[in-house]
Amino acid sequence: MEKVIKPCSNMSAALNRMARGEKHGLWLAYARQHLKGCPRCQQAFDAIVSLLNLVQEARTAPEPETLDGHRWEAIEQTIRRAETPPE
Amino acid sequence: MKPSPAAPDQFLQLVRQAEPRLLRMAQRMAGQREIAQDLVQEAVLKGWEMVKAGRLEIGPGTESWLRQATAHAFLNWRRRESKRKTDELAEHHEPADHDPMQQPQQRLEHLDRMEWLRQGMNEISEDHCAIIALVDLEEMSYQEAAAVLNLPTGTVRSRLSRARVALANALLRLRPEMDVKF
Repeated sequence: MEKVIKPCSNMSAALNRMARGEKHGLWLAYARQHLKGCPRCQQAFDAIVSLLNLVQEARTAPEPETLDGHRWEAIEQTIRRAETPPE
Repeated sequence: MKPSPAAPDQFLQLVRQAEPRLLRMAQRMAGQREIAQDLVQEAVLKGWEMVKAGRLEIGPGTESWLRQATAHAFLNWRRRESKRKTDELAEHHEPADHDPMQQPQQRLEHLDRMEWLRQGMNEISEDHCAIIALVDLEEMSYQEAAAVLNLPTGTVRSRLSRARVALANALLRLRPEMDVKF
């Protein structure tokens, strides 16, 4: 059966804040309590945490550090052209 | 106002300094090296146009402007991609530049997960994709993302909540064998 994440509509924001590790606020106690009795929201919470971990992994992926040479050439050419602006 | 004679050098120097951060941002958002390079080049050239037109001062605020321009370039690219999405999509999804047989297992798994994330991002709406790219991938504050997207901060928050649920569902649709704790 297809898994569909569908938290209770009033819980979406709270689940996201919890998943980001926010620890303060009355809403948190309420959200924790709600999660205990709501498999749908528990499932959504687990999925959001997993998603944030995946995104974190993407943030640590190796990245290019410089623009390719031909791109720099194009940029420099365009910009240097402005040194002799039209009258 | 015309830019000063020193403006080209000043601007180029500033771009050189900002280059790694701009590229990192573009790479996180687009997930593809060549596209990231395109986005940064586009943003830089647009920045120079603004300087020439006297609408952007070269100084401490320039990098922030370039970040926003890179984000806009990404959003425009994403819109074009959505329109262009047809059956040729499959060939775009080929992970580029990597020979799987030469990668250590861990690297392969990482690439596979990143490809999965990229496919998931392609499955969700542009609005949802944009908000996740800016806030979750690029770690912009709600205020920064709101400025880029021209939305109230409250809308950014609520849209982000919905976008994450949408992306989680897209990922699970793409890999139904995965558990919600993926």
